[in-house]
Amino acid sequence: MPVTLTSLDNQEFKVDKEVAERSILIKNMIEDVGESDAPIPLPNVSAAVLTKVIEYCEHHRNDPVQVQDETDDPRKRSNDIEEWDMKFMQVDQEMLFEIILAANYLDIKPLLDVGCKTVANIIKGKTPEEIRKAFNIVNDFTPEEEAQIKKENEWAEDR
Amino acid sequence: MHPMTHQSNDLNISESLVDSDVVATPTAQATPTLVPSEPPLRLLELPIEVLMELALYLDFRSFARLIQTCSSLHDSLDTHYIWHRLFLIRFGQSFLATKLKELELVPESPPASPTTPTTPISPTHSSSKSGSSNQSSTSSSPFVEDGYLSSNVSEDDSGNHDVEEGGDKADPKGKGKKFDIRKTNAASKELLISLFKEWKRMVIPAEFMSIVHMHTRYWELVENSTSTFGKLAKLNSVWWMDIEAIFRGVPPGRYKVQWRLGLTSEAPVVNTEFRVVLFDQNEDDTTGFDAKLNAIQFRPRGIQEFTEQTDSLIANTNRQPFKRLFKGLLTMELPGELIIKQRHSGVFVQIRNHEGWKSGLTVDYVRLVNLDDTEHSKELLINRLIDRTAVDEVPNDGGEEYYPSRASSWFQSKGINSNTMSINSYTRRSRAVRNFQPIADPSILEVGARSPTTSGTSNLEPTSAAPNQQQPNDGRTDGNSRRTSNNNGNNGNGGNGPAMQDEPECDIL
Repeated sequence: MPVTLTSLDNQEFKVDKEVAERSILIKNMIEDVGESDAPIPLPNVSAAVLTKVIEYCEHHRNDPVQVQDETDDPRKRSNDIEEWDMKFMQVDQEMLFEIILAANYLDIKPLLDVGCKTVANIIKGKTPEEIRKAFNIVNDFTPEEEAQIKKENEWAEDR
Repeated sequence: MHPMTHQSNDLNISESLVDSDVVATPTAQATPTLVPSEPPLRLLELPIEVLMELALYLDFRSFARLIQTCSSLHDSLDTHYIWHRLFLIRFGQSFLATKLKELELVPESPPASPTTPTTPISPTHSSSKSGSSNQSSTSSSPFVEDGYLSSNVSEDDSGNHDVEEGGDKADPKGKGKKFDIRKTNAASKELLISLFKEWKRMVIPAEFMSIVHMHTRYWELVENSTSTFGKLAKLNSVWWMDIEAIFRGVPPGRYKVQWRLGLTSEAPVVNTEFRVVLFDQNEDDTTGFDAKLNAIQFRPRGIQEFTEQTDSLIANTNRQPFKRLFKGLLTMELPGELIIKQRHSGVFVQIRNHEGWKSGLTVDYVRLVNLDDTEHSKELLINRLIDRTAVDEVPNDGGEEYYPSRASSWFQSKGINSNTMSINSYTRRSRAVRNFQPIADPSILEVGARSPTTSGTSNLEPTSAAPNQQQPNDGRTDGNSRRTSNNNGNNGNGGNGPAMQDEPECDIL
């Protein structure tokens, strides 16, 4: 049975229940409400983002839940993104963060993980200044603070 | 458009980022695609729990750089919790638990891991880690005051959140075992960072190696300005030579092993065994390495074979007095790759030779170089073009021994065993690349290592280099190889000298 989701900007999306339930938030909502035709409002997610999220959920509709705990693969590694996900994440930075935010809100752990890995990969290999540039971060340290923090973390540069 | 954006501006108070007050804002918009004048969502506006999750995907170097970018990231991420998690991801929990027990920082509720190794601390670090600040900081304020995590982790809703870091592989099922961060929560941030500093080393200076007979008349630690770390281990004279070092928590990847050594005699390296052993630091006793399988083993049978693994500018050791082979300290790169697949792996490296008196060796450091880390991979000899022209063109003393010949790669491309000949080339890639028979028996290259004879790079290298040398030398090579093999220790006559002068054009790269 399809489920109707309503985005922030009042667009309606009809998706299979199975797909919608990749989101734990929606799954819980459906469980709470019971069978109903009423659309589920998702007031935090815009249509553009929801379209992406649904695309992800469609593709991963058959994934076993909580894959990461069943495998021996080390989980906290950012270089194990599967190819489809990698392509899926090739979006501009704003959309990337929007997807992460939506995944967090909708409680879709695998999507959140892929998003975090993608951002982590952008950070890796960059100097603090390069990271600032990449993410538009304003350096708000005083020169003294900056020197102090740099000194505290200098050891991490050693091998 | 970004309702959650606003409330998370201040990362420090972003505990309740989810939907509570956001629900109030859905302003039904006429055009769905309209992007209002709001600024684009930025990294800093992500909720703190997302930023924390993100941080755990970083290696500590990247993490340390991230927290230097601005105050809000610094304040929200430079926490005991994140350092603790990063530590466990890198080194495993039972390892830390053992260390805490050693420091008598046993957790309040003692669900200590049954798989805790009995003697995981090597003599390398525990004994020689002398006056570093670690010890003092551990004794002063080892406990975390806030107890931030003492209760909230194991109740984690899905229960899956923290399971993966335990690394308690000894548990045959692996899954049923629940990782409990409280077990090691007694480690303060300061302690964790000091342990990080100590254990994360990918470079181990001589001072922190375990050398049999150190600080006796056989071996001593000497101050030296050419040493990268200011101190060299100096071998005066010894029969039982045994140098060991341990790398901990080596992240999965492909590595090369490099020794930085000083050498004034061939005795310490010829027929000496250079070993690398891979172990699981959550399981393995770190004392029984003698019996363990080698991931890499290299045992040069002659100084030529050894030199070919180094950054020496001398191509042909036969032509040279020993003192010319190495200018100062040399870098020696073991053949073969160390391939690490499991997290929480340790790497044991050793130089051993228990036969005959040896002297004339100094040790600066040993290091692992990650083949895929672009910031370090230029250190690899296999990536370096070593120019041997200048040195080799210097006329030989008296010119008595001369072995004019091609680059060994050419011979190898023709299937000729260059090791039986004296090979000389002028400018070429590091010998580490070309060295085809560095190891007597290929079977000794075992689990986890790729033999240079089977590795694609070694095989490709000479063939790709071959055209360079082949063209200009066509027709002369036969003569050369004959000369070379016939020569065999025979003193070349003066006639070979001029012939030599004509040849260098063959290897200009």
